[in-house]
Amino acid sequence: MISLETIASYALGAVAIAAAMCMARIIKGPTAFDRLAAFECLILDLVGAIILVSLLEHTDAYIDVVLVVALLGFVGTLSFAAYLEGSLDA
Amino acid sequence: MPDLIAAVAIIIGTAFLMIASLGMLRLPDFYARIHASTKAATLGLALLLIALAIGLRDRPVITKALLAMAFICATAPVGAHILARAAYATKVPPLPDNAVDVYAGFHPDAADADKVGETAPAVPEPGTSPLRPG
Repeated sequence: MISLETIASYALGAVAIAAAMCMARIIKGPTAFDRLAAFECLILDLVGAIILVSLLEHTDAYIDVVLVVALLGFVGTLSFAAYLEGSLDA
Repeated sequence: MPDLIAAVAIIIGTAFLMIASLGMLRLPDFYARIHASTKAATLGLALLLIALAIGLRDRPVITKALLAMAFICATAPVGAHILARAAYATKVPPLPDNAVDVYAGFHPDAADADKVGETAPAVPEPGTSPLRPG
């Protein structure tokens, strides 16, 4: 475990385990709000995985993907929370 | 030397992300679970973005990584706040069932919105706290 690539690849495995734990909360969560909070955490784990892949491939082309995925995850959480509260015209 | 800083930032950031997901899985209450994604995942992502900015020492990457860090630190707590507000309006129960509700009557969409000013005292009595029953 000397180079940065091995550390980044092991970290990618750890982020995959973290994403699996968020999926367990999505399956298990008694209310819809639990699933929504776990979805938000899953999106943030996904952003971390994209950052680690970008480090592994020594490219800077994925930083725009990081911004867009974070933005879309946030907007999705907001709209779903508004729908569940009942303040969205749906 | 910069690779060493990037490696340490990757290890600590990934540890924070794993702690966030572990908290999301194991915390007992909904209002406790949103703390995990707000604080731990935001901090882990900030450290991972620092690792990316130091690992690829390129000026557009540093700028966009700082932008992503600012955006995530601004939006993740706001999302958690909106989730908690929506859950409180929809009567998601907190875990200790005899917990004192200091916000009863203050939410405009709550069922007991006509009791504003009746439940919460204006000035708490000295020696007592509204968070501690009895």
